Amino acid sequence: MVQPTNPQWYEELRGEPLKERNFTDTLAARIKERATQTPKFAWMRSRVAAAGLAAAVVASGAIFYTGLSDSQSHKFIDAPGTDTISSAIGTSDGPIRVKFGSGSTEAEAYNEKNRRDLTWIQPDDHAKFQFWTIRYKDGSYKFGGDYYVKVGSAQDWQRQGSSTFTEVAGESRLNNLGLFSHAFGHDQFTVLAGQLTDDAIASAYLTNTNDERTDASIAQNADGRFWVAIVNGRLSDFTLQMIDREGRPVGEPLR
Amino acid sequence: MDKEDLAHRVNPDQAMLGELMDRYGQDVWNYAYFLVKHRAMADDIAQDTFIQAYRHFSGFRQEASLKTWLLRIARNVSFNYRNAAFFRKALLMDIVSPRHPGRSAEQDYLEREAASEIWRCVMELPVKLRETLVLHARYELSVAEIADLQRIPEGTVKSRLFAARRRMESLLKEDYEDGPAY
Repeated sequence: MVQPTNPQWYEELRGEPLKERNFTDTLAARIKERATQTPKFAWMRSRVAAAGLAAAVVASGAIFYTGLSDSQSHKFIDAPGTDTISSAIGTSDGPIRVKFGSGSTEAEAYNEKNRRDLTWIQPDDHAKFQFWTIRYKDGSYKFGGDYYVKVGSAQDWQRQGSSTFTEVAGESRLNNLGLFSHAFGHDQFTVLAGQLTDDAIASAYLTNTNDERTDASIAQNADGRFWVAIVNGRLSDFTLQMIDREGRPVGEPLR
Repeated sequence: MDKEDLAHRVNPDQAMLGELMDRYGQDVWNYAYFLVKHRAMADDIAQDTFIQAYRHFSGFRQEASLKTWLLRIARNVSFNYRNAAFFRKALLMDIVSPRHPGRSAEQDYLEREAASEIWRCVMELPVKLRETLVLHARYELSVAEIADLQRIPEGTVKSRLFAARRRMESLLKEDYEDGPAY
């Protein structure tokens, strides 16, 4: 019944907005699977926390990336790595070092055989960022990132935010995109990661309002190529520029 | 299991989660889509909404309906996603793989799959007006319920509804003058 004060077209808004049903049985099944993983997830988090503390001790305050690639050759490395590069961000202890390694223990903990951890970044003892990919059995694909902080007297890791991109099997959305990305802010830092799905793009860099440049690092796993960067400042102060293998800009800078 | 049974359950199980998703899955997905206008993000927001609802069902207080409670979770989740996904823009995507100048894959999808011209116009509204309008018109929430959900004064809800309707009338008039079927 249309109320007298409501316009006539209100009635049409009672129906579905899209022709197709998007909350599919596949999506519902996946939610059920994820929702009932609580014990394993909790165990995984404790393992990650332990690994994070160990890394913090080794790093002595440095920011660590643990991933599956080195930044120079773009070659897939399926083993713990030791390559390091220096970030443009400086601290009182000198430049922040970026280190790549393996994240395979988390993949086992999730009991999702096709989960691949890409990078793991812990700027301090109280926050960490994790980027990962998951290939589901039905062919669907997800690229995501999680932001954790320690909370409470027990100092348990608690997820504060997530950003994911899902490519549902058979819909080929990913193929329509050149790239997509995630960004998280933490204190003075912003952590970013994105997947490169266009072969024309080799890497990326960010520039702040003072024209200071921060090069992204390139990580790669079996699910694709990714750029990762950590910048000192708010995201809104930066523009992103994609570049080809010769270092030439691809497209306009993006804010 | 009827609606009352569902609301009075304290310890969730898989059957209850299934019932929740059967009953409210599409509503939650639609709400997420109204907020972000991106199908993949809406998938993820719907997923996180039901996982949170499942894990924190004891936090459900029955002064709100289950639907409103789920919409509130979806709203909070979507804001986390939108804040984190700054660079994930249609612009960014299309610069690298241009298909139709000035249009994103999601715009193409909406143009093709919107159920009617009315819905196409709704999706053209700014997000604050769009959200308020669909909560009122589609989800049939009262002004007080919308104000509670959005944590804004009722007067602001009313002014957004007024602005949304006025904008809709203008968009529908443009469509009529341009000659589509509506």
